[in-house]
This record gives sequence, structure tokens and C-alpha cells, in this order.
Amino acid sequence: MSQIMNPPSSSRIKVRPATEREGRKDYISIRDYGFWYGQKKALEGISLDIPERQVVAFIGPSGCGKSTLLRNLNRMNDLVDGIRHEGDITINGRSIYDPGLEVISLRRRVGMVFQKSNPFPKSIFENVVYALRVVGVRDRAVLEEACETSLRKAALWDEVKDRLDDSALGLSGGQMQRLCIARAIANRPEILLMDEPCSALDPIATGKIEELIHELKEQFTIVIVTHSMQQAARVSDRTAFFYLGKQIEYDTTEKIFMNPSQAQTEAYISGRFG
Amino acid sequence: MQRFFHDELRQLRDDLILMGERSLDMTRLVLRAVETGDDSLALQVRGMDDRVDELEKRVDREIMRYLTLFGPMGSDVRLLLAARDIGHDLERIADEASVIAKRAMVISERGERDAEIDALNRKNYEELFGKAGDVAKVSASHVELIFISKALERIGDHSKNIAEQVIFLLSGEDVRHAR
Repeated sequence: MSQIMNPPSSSRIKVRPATEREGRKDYISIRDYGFWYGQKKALEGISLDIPERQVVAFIGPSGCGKSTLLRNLNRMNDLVDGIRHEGDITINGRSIYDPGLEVISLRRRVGMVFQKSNPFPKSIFENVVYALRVVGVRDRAVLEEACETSLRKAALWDEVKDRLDDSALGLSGGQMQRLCIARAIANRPEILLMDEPCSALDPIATGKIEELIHELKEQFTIVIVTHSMQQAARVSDRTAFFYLGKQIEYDTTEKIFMNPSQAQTEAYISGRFG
Repeated sequence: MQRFFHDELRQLRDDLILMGERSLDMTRLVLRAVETGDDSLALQVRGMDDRVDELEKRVDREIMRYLTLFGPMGSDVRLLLAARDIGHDLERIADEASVIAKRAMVISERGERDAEIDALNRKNYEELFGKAGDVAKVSASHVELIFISKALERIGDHSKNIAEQVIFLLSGEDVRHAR
């Protein structure tokens, strides 16, 4: 209660609504994008721009195409047989389908965190520096610095700094997920994709990941797929609602949740869908 | 754990305190205007009302944003509900202060012409007050003072409402309409 009754402090952090934070340049641009798994059309006519260093949430019922779109942003779906696409996705002005662009370098720039944390059966240290080792970094001092920096950014350093050589598999679920985030950012990506990063976590671990997302957006552009509308509302600046492979509405999160333009969006966010 | 969105509650509370300070300033200033007959003070009070109206709209928007986006629970819900009511009462206090300012300026404008106006309007006042008072002593300025006193009473009512909301905020107890 003291927090409620304390007098105003001039040093407080002012939180500005997303709408006031506009004016950033669009970073990821998706244009007339369609996507097929074999004969099945999974996405149709998607066009949206994602500004840099903002959090964009993709919401919608299962099968609406939100994870498919997310996985297209770093061409993860290339691994699936029989896929094809139409339209284009550009990152910082360059098409991700540019023949001159190596998919490996694209994935270095666009990191990913999955629904289920997937640490390697190695030490905490080796997990974090894995990608750096793959690209040939051998200098121990460089690796140690990258490990500490990444773990600090992932808000995990204080919890694991004394046991970096312990197996990552001994961490709690929430810690494992933060380790995977540390591993993803160790490679210094520009964009972080998160596919339901909290769905297997308890509310406290979820809170920590959400705090982390809020801090990481100072440096990274983040796209998150979530089934939790409360989570989308809490962490994102912009929200896109998808249904049956189509983009129904994309706007500031405040607009989507307070006064959406489309009746389908209103029905979905208020639990009246279906 | 303190979450990033809790900062928005601090912002809301600060805006509410700012509204309270403005309304209090307006009330103090306008009483001085009535006391001293200083028109400039009354004018100043009337100019402050718009700012309080803007703050009320901002507070309402902040409340709606928080309720919609951040799923508040417990004392946070009480703060939001109390803030809505307190904001409304503070805006009404500022309105009443503005009304008093207007009345004070009327008194001041009449000034020395009071006696003349009294003579012209005495018949109306007799109808208004009947035989209840000493009609001869009722002047146009007295009527303004009656309106001012009524506005002050309403400010008192709004202040009591705010006190009740603060009790609700701190304890969860609803003491409205207690006998």
C-alpha cells in the first residue's frame, strides 16, 4: 500500500503507451504474403509492417497461421517438404528470399525461442556459447564475456553464475527457457522470434520472461506468438489477429484490445468466438 | 515482484494527486478572491478549470487502458475503481470553484452600483424570499453569496466522497451511505 500512497517522485520511469512510441521505421515488411503446405493454403494475403525495437504479438485460434507466419520470418519452414509462397518478406529492406542471401546468415540475424525450452545436454556455459563455437569463435575470454553478457540480458546470470559448468538440464523450467533466450541472443541477432515462450511455465516464471521481453525490446525487434491474450496485451506494442490463414486486424495493442475495428477481433478478444 | 506495467499505476496515482492539488489550489484561490474582491484571482481560477477537465479524461483513459491490458487484481482493482470516483469528484470540485469565481466576479462588477440595483430589483427579491427574511437587507450580492455558499457545500460533499473512496482504497471497506 505504501507504493500507492507514496508521493510522486520526479525520478520515476515514465511509461508511454505504444501509440506515443510510434515514428520508428518499419523493419520487417510482409507484403501480399501467401504460403502453402503442399495443396493446403496456410496463409493468404498477409501484409503488415513491424517497426524496429517493438514487440509484435500474433494472436488467433489454433490453425490460424500465426506460427506458420512466425516460422517464415527466418525461413524455418524451408525444412518442410512441398512448401511454396507468394508475395515477399523483407527485413531492413532486403527480401529474405533474395537468392544472394544465405539462409544461415538470415537465421543468425533472426533468433528463435520455442514453446518448449530445448537446452542441449551440455553445461550452462556451453549452451550459451554454442552458436559462437559453431561460427568458429575459440578465444576463451571472448566466449566468457559473451556468456556473461547474454545471461545478464536474459536475467539469469545471478542465478547461475556460480554453476556455469553444471548441466543445463538441472535448471528449472523457467530458468531453461531464459537459458534458451540467452543462447538465442548470444549470437547477437536483430530480431527475436518467440513461439509461445511461456506456455509451459508457471506464473512467476512467465512474469520473469515477460519482464525480459520488455527489457530486450530496447535492443531487439521481437515477434511473439501467444495463445494468452492477456500476455499479448501486457507485453506487446502491436498485435495482429489471424483467423483461417487471414490477417483480420493489425494495429496498436491498445487499439486491438480496447476498441478493435473488426467484429471478429472483438468477438475473439472478448471470448465470444466460435 | 514489481512488474513493468506497475509503473502505469504510479503514473495514474500521480495524475490523480496532481488533479487534487489543482482542485485544492482553485478552491483556495477562489476563496481569497471572494474575501478580497480581487478579480484577477477569480479569472485565474476560471482559467485553471480546463486543465483539470483534461486530467480527468487522461485519468479515465489510463484506468481503462490498465483494466483492459494488464488484468489487475486485489488492491490494484480498488485503486482503479477508487481513482475513477475520486477523479470525478475532483473534477466537480474544480467546476464548483469555477462557479464561485464567476459569482465573485459578478459581485465585484456590481460593486458600488449595488444600492441602485437593489432598488430596481427589490420587488423580485420580495417574490423570491417572501417574508422569510429581512427583505430590505437582501442585496444582489447577497444572492450571489448564497450561491457561493451552496457551491462550497457541494465541495464539502465531494470531499466527503473522496474520503470514503480513500477508506475503500486502503481497507476495502465500503463506508458510503453509513448511518
